[in-house]
This record gives sequence, C-alpha cells and structure tokens, in this order.
Amino acid sequence: MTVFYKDFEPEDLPVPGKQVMHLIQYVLREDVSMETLSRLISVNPALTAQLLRLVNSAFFGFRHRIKTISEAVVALGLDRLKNLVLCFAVKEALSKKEIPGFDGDSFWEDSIRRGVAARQIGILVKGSVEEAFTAGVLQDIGLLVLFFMEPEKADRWPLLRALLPEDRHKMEAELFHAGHDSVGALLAHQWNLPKSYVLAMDHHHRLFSETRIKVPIPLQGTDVLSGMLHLSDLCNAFYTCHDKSGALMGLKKKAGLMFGLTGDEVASLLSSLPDLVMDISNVLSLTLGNQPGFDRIMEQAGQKLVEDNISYQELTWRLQRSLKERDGYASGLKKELDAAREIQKRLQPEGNLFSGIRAFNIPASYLSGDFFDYFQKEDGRIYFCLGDVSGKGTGAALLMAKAVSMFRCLCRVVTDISTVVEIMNNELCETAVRGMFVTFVGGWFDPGSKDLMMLNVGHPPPFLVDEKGIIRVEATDPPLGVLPGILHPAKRFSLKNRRLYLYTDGFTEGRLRKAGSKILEGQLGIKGFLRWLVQSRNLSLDEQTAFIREQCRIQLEPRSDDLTLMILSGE
Amino acid sequence: MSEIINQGDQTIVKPGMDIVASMAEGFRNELLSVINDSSSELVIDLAGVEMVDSVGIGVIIAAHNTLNQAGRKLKVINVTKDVYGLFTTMRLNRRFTVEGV
Repeated sequence: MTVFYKDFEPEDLPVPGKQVMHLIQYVLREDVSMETLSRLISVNPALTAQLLRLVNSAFFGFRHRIKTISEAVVALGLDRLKNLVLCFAVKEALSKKEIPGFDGDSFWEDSIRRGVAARQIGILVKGSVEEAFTAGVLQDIGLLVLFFMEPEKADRWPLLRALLPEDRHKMEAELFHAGHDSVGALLAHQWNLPKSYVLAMDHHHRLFSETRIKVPIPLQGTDVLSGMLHLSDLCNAFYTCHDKSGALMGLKKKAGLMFGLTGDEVASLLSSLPDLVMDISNVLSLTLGNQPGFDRIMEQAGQKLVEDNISYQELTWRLQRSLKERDGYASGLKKELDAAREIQKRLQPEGNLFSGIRAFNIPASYLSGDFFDYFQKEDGRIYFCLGDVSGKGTGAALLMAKAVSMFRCLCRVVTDISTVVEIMNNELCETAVRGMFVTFVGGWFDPGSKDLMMLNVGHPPPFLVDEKGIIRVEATDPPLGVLPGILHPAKRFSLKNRRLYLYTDGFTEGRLRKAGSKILEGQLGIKGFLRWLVQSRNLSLDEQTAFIREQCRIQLEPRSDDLTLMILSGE
Repeated sequence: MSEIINQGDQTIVKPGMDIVASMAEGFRNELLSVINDSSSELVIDLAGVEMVDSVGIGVIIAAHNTLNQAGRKLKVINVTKDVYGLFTTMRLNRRFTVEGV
C-alpha cells in the first residue's frame, strides 16, 4: 500500500467514537453471535433506527415489516447484517466531524450510489452482494479524509465530482499529492477493516486504468471486488459527471471486459439506481440534490454521443454553408463588377470608329483606371482624350467614369478644349478624395485640315511621329484634381503626314517578362516604347495596333498595369 | 514609420521607404499629423526612396493641398532621378519645390 500524501500520518486519520469503534470491532470478529450483535446495535438508537428503516425499504423488499433488530438479524442473516452495520458505523464515525464549506450530503449520496451499484453488480456477477455494498459505500472515504486534512480545498469538491473517475483521480494527485484510494485503504487498515476491503479500496483505480483494460481480463480473488468497485464508480459518474457519454461508454466497455456484462445488463443496472439511492438516502436522512431520472441522463448521454458523432457532419455542413454563402457573395460581387465593367466599356467607344483613329484599353484587373474616348461633332472635328486615374480598383474606376463623362458632356457644349479641361480640373479638385488625381490629355483633331489642338495635364508626353522625327508633347500643368485655377492653353499642332500616339504609363513602366532563358530586367521605358513605334511606323493603323498588342503580350509581364493606347493618323 | 525632425522653421519627414499603395495610408496619416501639429514648412525627404507610385504621388499632392489652404509650403528633397522625372513629367514641380539628390 502506497500513500503519497506528504506529511500524512495514521494518527491524522479520523477516529470513531468508542461505542462505534467497539461495534466495528465486534462486527469484524468471526465468533460474534447474533445475540451479541443485536444487543450492541440496540444500544445505538440512531444506528438501530437506520438499520430498521433500511431492511424495511424496497432495497431489500421483504414482504413483512421487520420491527426489531433481532428480527432484522434473522431476516438478513449474520453476514449481511455485519456488512450493513460496518457501513453505517463507519459513515457515522466520519460524519461527526464537519468540514466547513463541504457538501457532505452529496458525498454520501455518491457513496451510496456506488454501494448500491456495487451491490447490483454483485447480483449480476453472482458475487458477495453485501460485501460489495459496504465496500462500495466506503471505497472513496479516502477523499473525505483528504478534505479533513485540507478543508480549505473543500470548494473543489463540486469540480472533482463532475469529473470521470480517472480524471478525478489525476486531479486529486495534483490537488492533494495523494489519491483517495491509498488514503482510504490506509484508514481501512487503521480501523482493522477486513483485508478484502483494504485491498479493494487500494486497487479499485490503479488496476483498471484505460491503458490497462484493453482486452478481456479474468478477475480472481480480491480483484473481483476491486473490479466491482471500479464499475460502481463509473455508474456513479454516469449520474454526476459532465461527460455522461464518456462514463457510459467506459462502463459498458469495462463491464464487458471484466465480467462479460452486456449493454442491456449495464443499462438495466443504471436504471435501477435512482430509486435505490432514494431509498437508502431516506433511511440515512440524507438531503439529496436534484435527482435526474435514468431516461433523462440517457438522453443527455445520447445527445452528447450524437453531438460527438455528428460533429464532423456538422462541421462539414457549416463549411459547406459558409462556402455557399461565400460563393453567393462572390457571385453577387461578380455581378456588380460585371455591371460596372459593362458600364465602363460603354463609356468608351470601339477602338476603330473612324479610319484615322485606333485605340484599345487592356485593364490589368477587372476594372480599369485608364480610359480613352473620342467622338465627332457636327463641325467634323473629332474630340479625343486619354487619361489615367491614380490608384487602382473600384475607386479609380469611379473617378475614371466621372472624368470621361465630363469630357464628353462638356465637349458637346464647349468648343474651346482648354476651357473644357479647366472646368474638369476645377470640378475634380472640388470633389477630390484622398489626393486622387487624373493625368490627362485632351484635344480635337480636324480630319479635313489635319489641325490638332491638344492639352496635356500631368500625363506622359504624347508622341507626334513623322519621317523627320519625334515631337514630345510635354505636360503644361499638373494632373486634374491637384489644384484648381487657370491652366496653360492648349497647343496647336499639325497632324499632316504624322501619327499621334497617346498612351498610359502601363507601357513605359511595364515590367519586362522573362523571355526563355534570357532574363530581361526593368521596365520597357520610353525608349523601348518608342522603338516599338518606330519599328511599326510604316504599318497600317490596324497592323500597328496589332503589332503593339503583340509586343505587349511577348515582352511585358501580364496584368502589371492597365494598358491604354490611342493612335491618331493624319496620313 | 517615418523619421520626423523639427529643424528651425522646417519639419522634415523621412519615410525611408518606397511610397507606394501598400504604405500610403499610414504615410498619409503621418503627414496629416505633422501638418496639424506644426505651423512650419513641411519637407518630405525622399532619401532612400527609389519608387513613388501614383497613390504615393496622391498622398504628397493631398499634403500639398492641405498646406496650400493654410498658406504653407511643401518641399520634396533628395529625390532620385527616376522619381524626379515623374514629378517633372506631371508638372508637379510647378506646384511645390522638388529637389534632386
């Protein structure tokens, strides 16, 4: 027998009163007679009353009423009575000293449930029924002793009570540095209780841990009683611990492995406990807590089992539902983006409406911050613009829509391109958000005279290219939306035998992609872009546009920035 | 987190990293905080800054506009050649002082 409790001495154990100790000693003697036992019990009125109430309870189910201890001795037989006396005597001895804050009634309620369960198991396995009852009641008295020793920990009892036996045993070790099995066995040894009790109390945990009980084990000798106590502990846990399904599963498994009990036998055993516990508790005048019925407990255990079982299904279902919701949101968002993209496309004309103009816009993502527009007015002039909104995404697309719409509307009513751009700038400055701006080139082109009026505000310089060379049309003012006020006037050019290239920085700042094993580094740059233009200057507008698109595909990293190009030809 | 130096009638802000979309929001808040906490000229020191994208330009423009409304000045200094080209292409150097490295 091992006691782990530090500083624990046998002298620390509770000592029963002389009368009770005397009774216990006599009960344990082999040669005690019925008459002597009756007399010893009768001098203890409380014990007498409890015994008479017990033997007349449904627990024993005698048909006739037993009125005296002598009749009880005859009805029960000496051995059964001795066990009962022993049980009550020990309980009485340990109940005399109160532990502040400790719910003693719930402790004894559990003890009785263990005793009753052990007795019912004894009936099923044809073991020593009354010995099982008494040992079952007393098996956890070591825990009571631990609380006697450290009453300041009494508030932990409800927590311990709500655990499965094996978990409770581990927590006791942490809390008290001892287990109730060892301490209880020491007490039983100290009080000279039968050796079978001492061993069963000492072994009822350690012999039957989860790691030990994996295959059927034939129990022999005192291990049979230890096994019955172990199962009775699980029976009690079924009614008291939180993990009811865990207690039920453990009980069914171990009852099968130890004694070959079936699931139905275990269920029957468990269902018999509430009424029997109630009977015994009445006998002992214990105040019972709320006593849920077997069906209710089974329902809870079943629910837990079902929850455990369906938790994976539940998670799967929730995941599917979340994915469906996500897909729904994505679908809704995509519809909105599709609509925005459609509107954005309609804000820009086709790229080949007139013979002297070609244009395209390749967005880097769903929506573009670049834009172009051109249209012909009644006087024959073609008004055109190309711009780039700072930033990307929806915000840039909204500002692009505003800029391109303003340009088209203003050009319908205002002839002077400088005035158009100035009004646009003032409007964008007034409603500017977070420093967003628009680099912009706008102007008109007369297809008849080849005259060109153009204004560049903050945009990369358009190129006027002919056989003689290249003219860069530098910006004269900062982008739209930066500062309101008067802008520099538009400049006049001739497009005769020239091509005008308007573009966004997606070309010049476009990242060069890896070409085979040759790694091209950096950006295309203005020089690289001009090289494309010069290489293709003798091609038709359609061919040149196709050439530039192809160069973008071959040389630039895809989708690094919006790419927008407009070519006006005066040839 | 930018380094902020109060030097006479100037408050110098040194971001020390590229001014691009990913850091623009934090930099914008820093500049606004500096503008609100001082009444001096604001100097943005771009030493070590190799790239300023359009969102970064927007942050500097917003700072300039806020200062301009209060009659205060913005100066951008230690600008690399590429970034300087960006400022001049956009003619922003006509709105506030931009000095190369």
